Amino acid sequence: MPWKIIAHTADAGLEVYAETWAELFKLAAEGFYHICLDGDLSSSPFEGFDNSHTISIEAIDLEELAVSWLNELLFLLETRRAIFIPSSLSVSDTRATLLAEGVLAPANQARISVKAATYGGIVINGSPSPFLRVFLDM
Amino acid sequence: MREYMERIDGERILLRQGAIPGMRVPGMIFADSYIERSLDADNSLLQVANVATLPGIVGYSFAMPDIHWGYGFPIGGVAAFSAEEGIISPGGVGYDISCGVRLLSSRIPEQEVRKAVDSLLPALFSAVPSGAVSGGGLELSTRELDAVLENGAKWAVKKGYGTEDDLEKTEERGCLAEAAQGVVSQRAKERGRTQLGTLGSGNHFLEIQTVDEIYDETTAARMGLVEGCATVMIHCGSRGLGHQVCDDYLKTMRRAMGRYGIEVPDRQLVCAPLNSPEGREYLGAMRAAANYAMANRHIIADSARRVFKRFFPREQLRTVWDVSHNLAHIERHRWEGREVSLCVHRKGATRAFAGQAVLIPGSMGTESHVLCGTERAEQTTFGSTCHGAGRMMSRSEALKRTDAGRLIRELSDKGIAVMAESRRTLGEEAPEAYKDVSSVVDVTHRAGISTKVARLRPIAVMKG
Repeated sequence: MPWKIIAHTADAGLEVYAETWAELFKLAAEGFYHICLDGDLSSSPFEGFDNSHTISIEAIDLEELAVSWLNELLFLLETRRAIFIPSSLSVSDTRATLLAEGVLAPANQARISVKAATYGGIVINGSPSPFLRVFLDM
Repeated sequence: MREYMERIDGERILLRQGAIPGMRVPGMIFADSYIERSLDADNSLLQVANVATLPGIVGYSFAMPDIHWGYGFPIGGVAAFSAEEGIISPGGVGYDISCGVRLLSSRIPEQEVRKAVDSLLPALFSAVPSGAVSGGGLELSTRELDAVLENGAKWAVKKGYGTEDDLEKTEERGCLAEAAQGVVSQRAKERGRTQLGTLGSGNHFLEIQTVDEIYDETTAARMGLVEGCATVMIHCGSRGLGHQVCDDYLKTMRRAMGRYGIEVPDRQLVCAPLNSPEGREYLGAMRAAANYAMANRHIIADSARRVFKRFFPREQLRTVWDVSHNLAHIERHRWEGREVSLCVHRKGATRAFAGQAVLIPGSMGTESHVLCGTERAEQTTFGSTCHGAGRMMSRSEALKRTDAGRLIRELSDKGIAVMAESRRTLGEEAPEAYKDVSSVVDVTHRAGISTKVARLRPIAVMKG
């Protein structure tokens, strides 16, 4: 598995390894949804209305970009009960920006005990290949 | 870090300056030998030292005996900053702004509750939305939500939930003055729009208890606690709205810190001078989120009261106290012979002014405690004490070790009924995952920063 859940006394952490920055953020989303939805990721896009969705984030640095990305996914989960399934995702590590296009799908399980992705103990670097460690406040 | 620790007495450990570079004050950890052993298990000690580096800190970076690893501040962390020269930090309050506890007392004998509990618990479960749902609470218009943020539980009383007497028994009468809904983001408001009156999930709960033992009869009587009679304890906070306020202002302060020449050892400790525009805005937004949290507990209490009225029409649930354990307050304290104005951050810690009730929930299925704040707390910890049992095992580890079905049976054998939205939550919240709450409470009692009034034993637990 290219991501794994790591222990924290009160909460949960996520470590992600990838070949590219875009893959890192995609895999982080996968791990994040795994925690939020208790592993149940099977979902089809909402039917009956335009379910396309774009996420655009400009951050001050990569740490903020990663936290903002996961908190954006949490926002969609909490307010729309929706999972974001990206069809394209691009990340600029030098400008700390992200653009993702995709669709929203209903979250089958409403297990959202995550309060937020946090900066506590966060590690994100690109050498030798992109890596992210982030902790979630539960 | 250990070499900088010096045990002062059976309840206190000093963490000397120098444990990390830049400590402006020492740390002070309230811990007996049992709690001291848990300090090696995580980074909470380092977090005590990190907090001690923040500008304007006064006295000590405190940790209460329920200390464990948090974000920025440790859980159980207390720090006071000069109102003139100090900072305010969202990391010193936490994501769940004004997460707290409300306790209701009654004169309903435990036996009467036990006879009804098979119907009573499902009725509560039905009346109080819980779990990881996006809403289920009151549907608020924009204007109504703004009014909640400005007026807190007072708004709820105006709308017919609860009574004026409840406000008298709520910290700051249920409304923090100078809350500023205008600096709460639309995103935060969207998260909070449908969640008012909901319990949430994780460690939040509603519990029916009985007063098991009274330690201080005079104070217990003043608080309305009667041995052998039922109480209801509610633990929850500001839901998604508060989480978003924290996240928003972490970004704001990260951008502002450079302007004020502030450097922090942990990004989760980002902060701004209290008197800066960013500091004042966060204070206003935090107060607004706290008002939301107090209104939330108030409405849940009203729902519980209505359910109890159906089962026990002649009895009344009365509010004992409602207190936050994640908040920053501007308070006047006497320190080193001078009267000073301080911004006291309590992150997983409770205000414990002399005579005030302090509500300490245990872990699921274990005892809870009612304590009383003391003058000693006012003199030594800026009027602060512990807030709960404190975790000592990760959720994943607790889940691995716990079979939810077996846990339910074990609790049932102890006479405790349980209903939960998620069986997984039950596993994560297994009692073994927490410190022994009686050890935590005993340390604060012996240290004199809050004294034992009564012990509460659970009868039925509702989890998200």
